[in-house]
Amino acid sequence: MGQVSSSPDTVVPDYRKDQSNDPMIGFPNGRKERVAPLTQDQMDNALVPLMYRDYCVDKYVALQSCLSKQSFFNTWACNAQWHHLEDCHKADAILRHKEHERERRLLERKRRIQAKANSSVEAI
Amino acid sequence: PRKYPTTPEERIAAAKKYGLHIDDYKPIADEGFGAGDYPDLEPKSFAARDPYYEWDYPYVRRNYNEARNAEEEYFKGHRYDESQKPVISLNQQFFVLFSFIAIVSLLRIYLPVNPTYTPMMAKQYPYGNLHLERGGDPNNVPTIKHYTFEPAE
Repeated sequence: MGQVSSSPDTVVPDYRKDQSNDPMIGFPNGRKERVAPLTQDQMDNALVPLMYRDYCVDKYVALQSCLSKQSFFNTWACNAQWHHLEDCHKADAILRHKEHERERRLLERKRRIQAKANSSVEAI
Repeated sequence: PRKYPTTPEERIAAAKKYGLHIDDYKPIADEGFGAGDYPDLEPKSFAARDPYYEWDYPYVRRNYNEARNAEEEYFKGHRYDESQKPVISLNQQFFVLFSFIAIVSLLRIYLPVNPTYTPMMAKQYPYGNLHLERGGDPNNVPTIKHYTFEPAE
């Protein structure tokens, strides 16, 4: 599912580490920062599990408060909140894909620059 | 079934009850199995019987009032049956199975395969990658900035 097979030629960015390149390359006007939606005290009061304390916690907390109010039978009462939360998660996943692709292209660029530098040195 | 037949009169009566000839009738050995006078028929499945004979019940290949084996459930139809010779012997079957497993596992272990991976970077969490929530030192909380892909206006 969405997996990529690497060959010996491709440059694979290491997903376990943070990106090695400057985040502002390619953005002449800078980038918007991601703002954490809740403070840490608010997250603690809402008893949010560690896994869900990402940049979508406000939608998660709204969903939980809605679920606590719905009755046993109307299972469709919180569909809108589910939808908003899922949209947020999907956007987050797309951002991770974009980050990976950006990282990969910058590494390829570095490799090309180095190859060119090496070949020019040999030419001399 | 009644109890294990001991006298010849009981044997004749039991054979008549099950519809077998008195010479064919052989009760299951009285070794604590508890079958009484039930006959010991050979465990042959219905699929092994002649398909062209005019059985009374052709679907199960049996005649009316024919005595059934006590453990017939194990070899009804296409189930387990030992009455016929297998196509390849049991040893050969095991050899084929384990050789296949061995060859495939050796190939997977010793031949290099290009690694596959999902092309995503690590998930981004706020507050210094949740430094305090994971039990980190409150004195040096790292400031990590995450960005979206929209240009700052």
